[in-house]
Amino acid sequence: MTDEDKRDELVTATYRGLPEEASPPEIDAAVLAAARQGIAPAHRRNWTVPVSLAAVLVLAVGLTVRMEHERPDVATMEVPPPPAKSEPVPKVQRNSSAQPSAPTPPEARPGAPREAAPRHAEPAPSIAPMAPPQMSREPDRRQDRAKAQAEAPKEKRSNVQVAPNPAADAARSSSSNVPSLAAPPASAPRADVQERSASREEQAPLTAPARATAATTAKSAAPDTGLVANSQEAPDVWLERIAVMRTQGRQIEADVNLAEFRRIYPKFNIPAQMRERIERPR
Amino acid sequence: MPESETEVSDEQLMLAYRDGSAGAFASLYARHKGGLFRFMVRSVKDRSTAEELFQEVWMRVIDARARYESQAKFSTYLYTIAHHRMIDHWRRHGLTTVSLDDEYAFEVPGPTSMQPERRAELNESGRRLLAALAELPILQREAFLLHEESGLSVAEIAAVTGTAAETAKSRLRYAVGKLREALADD
Repeated sequence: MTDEDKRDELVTATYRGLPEEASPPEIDAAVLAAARQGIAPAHRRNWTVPVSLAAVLVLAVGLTVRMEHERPDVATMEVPPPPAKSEPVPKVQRNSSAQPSAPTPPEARPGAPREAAPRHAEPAPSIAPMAPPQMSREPDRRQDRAKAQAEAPKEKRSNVQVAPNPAADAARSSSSNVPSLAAPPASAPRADVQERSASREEQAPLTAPARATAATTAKSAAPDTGLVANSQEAPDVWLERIAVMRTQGRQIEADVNLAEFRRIYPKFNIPAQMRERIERPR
Repeated sequence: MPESETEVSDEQLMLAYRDGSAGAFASLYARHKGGLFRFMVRSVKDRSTAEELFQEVWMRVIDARARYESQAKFSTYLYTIAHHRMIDHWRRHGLTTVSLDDEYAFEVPGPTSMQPERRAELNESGRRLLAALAELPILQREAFLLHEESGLSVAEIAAVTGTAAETAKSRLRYAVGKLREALADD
């Protein structure tokens, strides 16, 4: 060991012999508290991330399932089941659902909550589809369609009156086979909801211009959302659309629409000329 | 300190703290707070400034815990942060235009704010040593304090200060030489 090294040791020893300097206790406490707080967010992240991922997953699966339900079944599209002969007219069913003597089971009436309210108190005219309660494979799709229409802009809805009138339907079924629409009479311009509701009670079968008006409003209010989306249209307008589908070669779509039409209007007399146009060419 | 605790390295404690153990940080802090505090308080003139810098260094350690990786000694990591905080401090006080590589370019007053009760404990040699330390160029003083307080080798001092090993060695040799002369003036 050289003299220089000895002197270095002297420097080191002298330095280490200096009085101890320690950090103030309050700083120690502050640092340790900050250290504890620093790890707290990490713990939160540990469970927030998986929970967020789980929530996203549940939403995604839910949406997928819902979309699967809404998608038209291919098998159903190609081979539409014919409506049962004994199937009652949907409008009559709806009408009877309002009567306490012949209640329809709630699960078979997709539009039941809406109809439970008094009609004259409805803020907008009903454009709910005319699904028969007995068709168990249809309610979901129809409910969804009704929801979509309920979300349509109010200004559109206020001009639409295509829902069937139970009173008029009852009158029609007893007196005539010609289907009627619930649109207001042609002489009455587009009135507000209450006026239309009141006029339903006295409606007679519509004149041709009234039908055209109803069909036009139905078209504008209910955009074509699928293969069968015309159940709110006037029967003759619907048939015309089916005929157009035939001419355009959209056979499956026309088949589905025709089956739907026959299911909803089982007693509608299709003119022979129209029948030729709407039936599938052999 | 229990024996099992002393066996755990600084790096393991820091990794444990990174993973959520507050107790690991407390152990780490207990090991290094004295050395770091003396390094600060003997590097700057004002004691309150030294306390502030000391706290800031630990806050940086806490904030950067998630990015910590055990690639070097924890003491190297800790004193690198301290070195950078010190440079920021010097530059905030008007030393921005001075190159830190210039050994004699700037000298700042040494520790003159030692606690009175501690000052009374000083013997003559200690007083001389502190006076000589205060007169050292700051980079030499930093090299000496790093060597004494953190136990860093010359290579580690070079890493902390971002210089070549030869530069760090030279600074340390000059610092010790001047302190030795001060003690030999008897």
